[in-house]
Amino acid sequence: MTPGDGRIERALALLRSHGASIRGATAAGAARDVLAVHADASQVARVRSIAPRLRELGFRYVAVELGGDGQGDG
Amino acid sequence: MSQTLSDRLKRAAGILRQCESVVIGFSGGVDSALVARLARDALGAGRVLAVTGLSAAVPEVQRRAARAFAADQGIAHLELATSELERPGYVRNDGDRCYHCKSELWPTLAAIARERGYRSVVDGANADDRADYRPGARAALEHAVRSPLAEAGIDKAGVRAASRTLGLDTWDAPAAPCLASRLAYGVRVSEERLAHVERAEDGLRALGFREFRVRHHGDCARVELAPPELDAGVARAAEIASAVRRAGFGRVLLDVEGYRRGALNEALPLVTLAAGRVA
Repeated sequence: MTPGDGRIERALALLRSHGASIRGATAAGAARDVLAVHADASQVARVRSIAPRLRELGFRYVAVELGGDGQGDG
Repeated sequence: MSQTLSDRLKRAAGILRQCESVVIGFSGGVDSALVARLARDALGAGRVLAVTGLSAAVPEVQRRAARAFAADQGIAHLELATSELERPGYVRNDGDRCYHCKSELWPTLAAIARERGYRSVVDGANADDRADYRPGARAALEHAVRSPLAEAGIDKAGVRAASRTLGLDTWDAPAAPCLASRLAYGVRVSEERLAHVERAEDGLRALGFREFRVRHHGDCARVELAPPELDAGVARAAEIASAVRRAGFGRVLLDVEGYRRGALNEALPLVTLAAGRVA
């Protein structure tokens, strides 16, 4: 989770309220405009179903992290 | 092919005849390929020169496609190195990166046209491009580059329909803008980053995916697959992650909504605000 970023807490709450099985989320990208959801790829369809609402929280893009710890440097 | 499209193609041919002889900014993509064919038919092969600018932003797969098309159509083809990566405005990669790229390309092509006796320089812009965010079009205007397809009112669907009727293999080719278009605005353009994107997209192509983008966000790759291929992408997520990591990315994300044209343009207002803190 990105410390102090209220968007992430709201995104996590929204995802869990819709039954998504997730491990966490971070704001990714140099502009911190990508919501990176830490979940199995099998959750893509469920995350997609609420992507517009997730973007309304302040993200331009919604994506699922494919493995790793989400701490790479591009 | 509809009568309307047929009329528009005649208009485009008329524009090309007005040009008398042309140097074409030729990527080998569906648009400039159609212009090259129309020019050849309207003017004769001896009055047409297709020129492909080469830099790290042009993937090898596109270079091969351009060479093959020109050879197949009997159109003279010239490849030349361009230096947009030496332009600070291009490397900075803010909203007018394409303007800086085309400001490198069009004077170079104009000089070739002068040296070799061609009267005009033309591009493959179509009518849809005029409705999209296209800062490169400003450079075309500044350098008097004509756009026969756009001027004749031929949109992308018309380009594909006409290309199919003419038997051009490019008729259903995926759109293929330069690799720099994969870098999120504000992420500086470098040969290394362009190479990472090219290798990653080669990897996805090798897996059998057809229409996609690997977007470089500075600290991660965000993979956009065309919606019809998204389910296959979910099933092969591990292979995608592996291919993109091998290309040089440490972090790989799969966009849940998939490929959409010009997706990075959605971020332009944000980049303006955040320009001082991006990589």
